[in-house]
Amino acid sequence: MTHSMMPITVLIVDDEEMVRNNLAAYFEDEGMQVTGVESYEAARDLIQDHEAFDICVMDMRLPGLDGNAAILALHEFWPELRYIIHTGSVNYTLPDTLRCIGIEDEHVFAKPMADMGPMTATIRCLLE
Amino acid sequence: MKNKIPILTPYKVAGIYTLLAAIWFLLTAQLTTSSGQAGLAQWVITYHDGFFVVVTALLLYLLIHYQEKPQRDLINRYRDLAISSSDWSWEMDDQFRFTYLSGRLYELTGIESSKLLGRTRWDLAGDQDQEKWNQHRKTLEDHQPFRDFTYQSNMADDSGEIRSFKISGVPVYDDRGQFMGYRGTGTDITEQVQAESAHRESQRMLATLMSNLPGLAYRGGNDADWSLEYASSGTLGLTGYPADDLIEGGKVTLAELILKKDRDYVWQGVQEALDKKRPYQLSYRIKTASGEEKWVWEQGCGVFSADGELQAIEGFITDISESKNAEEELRRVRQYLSNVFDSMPSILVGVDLEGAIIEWNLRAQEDTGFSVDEVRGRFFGDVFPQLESQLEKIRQAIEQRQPMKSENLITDVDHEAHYSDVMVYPLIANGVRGAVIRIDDVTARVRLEEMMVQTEKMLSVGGLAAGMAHEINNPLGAILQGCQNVTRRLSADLPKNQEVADETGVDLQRLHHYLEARGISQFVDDIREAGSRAAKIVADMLAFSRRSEMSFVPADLRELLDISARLAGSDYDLKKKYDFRQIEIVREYDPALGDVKCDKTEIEQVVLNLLKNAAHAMADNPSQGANRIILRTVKEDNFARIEVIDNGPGMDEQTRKRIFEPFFTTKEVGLGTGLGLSVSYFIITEQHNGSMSVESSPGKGARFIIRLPLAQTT
Repeated sequence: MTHSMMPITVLIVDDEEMVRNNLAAYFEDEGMQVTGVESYEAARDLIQDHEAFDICVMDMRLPGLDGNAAILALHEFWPELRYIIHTGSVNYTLPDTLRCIGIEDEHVFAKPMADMGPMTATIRCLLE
Repeated sequence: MKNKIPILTPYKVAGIYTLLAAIWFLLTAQLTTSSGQAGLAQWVITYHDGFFVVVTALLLYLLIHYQEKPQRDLINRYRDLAISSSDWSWEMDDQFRFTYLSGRLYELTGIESSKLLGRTRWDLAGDQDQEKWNQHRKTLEDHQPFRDFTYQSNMADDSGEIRSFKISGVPVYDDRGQFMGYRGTGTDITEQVQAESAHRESQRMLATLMSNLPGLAYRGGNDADWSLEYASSGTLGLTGYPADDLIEGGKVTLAELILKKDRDYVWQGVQEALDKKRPYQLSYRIKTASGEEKWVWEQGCGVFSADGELQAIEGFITDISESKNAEEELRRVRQYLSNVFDSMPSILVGVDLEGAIIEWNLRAQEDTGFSVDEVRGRFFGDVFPQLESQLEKIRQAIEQRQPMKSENLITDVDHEAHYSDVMVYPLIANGVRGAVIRIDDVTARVRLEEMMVQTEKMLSVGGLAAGMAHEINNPLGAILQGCQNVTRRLSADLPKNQEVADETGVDLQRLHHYLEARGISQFVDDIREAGSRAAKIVADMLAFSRRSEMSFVPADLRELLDISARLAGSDYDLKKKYDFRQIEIVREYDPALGDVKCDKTEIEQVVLNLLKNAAHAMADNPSQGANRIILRTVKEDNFARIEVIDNGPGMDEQTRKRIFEPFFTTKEVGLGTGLGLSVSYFIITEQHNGSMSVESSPGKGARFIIRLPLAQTT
């Protein structure tokens, strides 16, 4: 799956609107196409409506289903979707269930993030 | 006396006389018949009868005179002896009845002889000791002589006093050998018997007293063996040997019983006393028959003759082991108590009611530098001026006999704060009054408590941070990301910016000038800087929460320290607050130290933090000479010690005490979070079970000491 011509589509799941907006602004400036939702449930609805995304930036502490469970649930519907974890939890460790579906430590980013450049680079790297 | 003349028997005398008469008659008859000499014959015839009478009378006189003289002498002699004898004489007939008793009996005994005549001796003796009398009677009936037969009788004394007699006698026979009775002497031995009896009694009494003595009463010679003539029966109890064994020629000598090491002492002691003719008293040890060692006490003296010559020594030896042992035990207990007293790590001072020092222990001596003799009798407040504030309380405690305790008194030792606990224990034993004052240096404990308080503080900071980190990080994220977006979207580099600028009729170049002119770009940078600092504080605070994912791996501390030093060097470029390249790094690594299990990254951070602090401190004092940091590792028994030593300005006591406290900083506002050292402290003490401390004083640099346990128990 290559997107040489098509813009990268990013789904941001974060209950903090300011974080969503800032990430979205940065990614859009990078030429990506960004959709932001505040919860797993909203993300699921979008995917069931056959919205297509290349990558999902997932917060961990969410209203409703938490980030880890959300990734596993979304992975059921859409195994091709790749994930970046963006968490404010300081003691976050990547569970083995997520490692099994290809998520690694370098895909985890801690809040607050003063420079969004590295995350952008990782997204590009993931989708190549 | 010689008797030349033979004694003639009456028969011989008669015979001689008949022979002489016959010769005479024949001679005269011959003379008368044969004449010739008529005159003489006539004269003889005329006078021959008378002449015969004269001649024979003369002859008989001579004969009897010379014949009887020896007998007369003998009689006189025996009579004189009998009269002059102090004994009386007696005679008895063949029926053993007294027939004669000399007057001496009366003189000696006051007994009239008339009372005894005609009576046998046993009639008079009473019925005592029948056997003896039967024996005596048999002797008499056998007509045997006897000597020194003694008996008692009250026969003639009206007072009933019993008197003792001693008699000797021989049987008497007539010429024909017919037994006539006995003749003999007697004497009154009442006084003698009484004296003997009294003597015996005194002997018996002496013997009883001696045998009752709990020890050895002796008489002996002054020789190296201490040879004994007499040893009392207490010998057995004292030495285990019967008295006879110690008497001269017995199994052992007294000297052999005395322990070898005491023998000279005993000899010298006795000789000295004898020289001065004084009694001697000695204590020494003996070994008994069973091998037991005993302490004995001896007293004795020399027995001297009238001319001052030593005849014997007499004395008494008794067992004093018990009191010696008690004495020994007392000394031992005293020693023991004194040892206990001295081995106490506290200062212990015994004082009387007035507070004057009576006794103190080794620790007190070491701490004050005074021996107990130097301070005895001095008021303890003068010796411990640092307790001045407590004097009144101590005085009251002693007076009211109530224990008193004052904790954490601050005393000044070499300009460094020390803490003491002072306790007063009044003595309440009978006859002992006063108190024991105990002073403990609890500086270490107080410091430890301070550290624990600090750790508690850190943990509570960690807990707080963990709870709020998520809530703060989201807005911080928004701030920081917002700043980045603002900066990016104001920049002319982004094509989209140009696009939108063109749409909205904004000249990006001019806008940029405007933003610079109004300092807006700087404000945005400041917001980002402030947000970053807040994020750093939160991150540092989070370090205080216990994290489980510490990864302990064996690490080479040399390598680890080198990495830290390199990181510190590169840090220079970012901050430009100090110049790490101007600092000489001296490495003193202990080759004996092997790998140490630790979280490498954490320890690197700790050392890096120390290096940066040192560089900061030295940069603040540029007047200092060559800046130098020593990195040192030392292998201790159970720890790896890391030292980071700088020759910077050091710190005062106040700072030193608080250096590990969270949010305590000496740096200007904005330069430090005040968490670096406390995080380091937390990492070392809580996460590595090690210890971290600092030694410093103003102008002397600082030495940070980290100890990591070599055997990791986690």
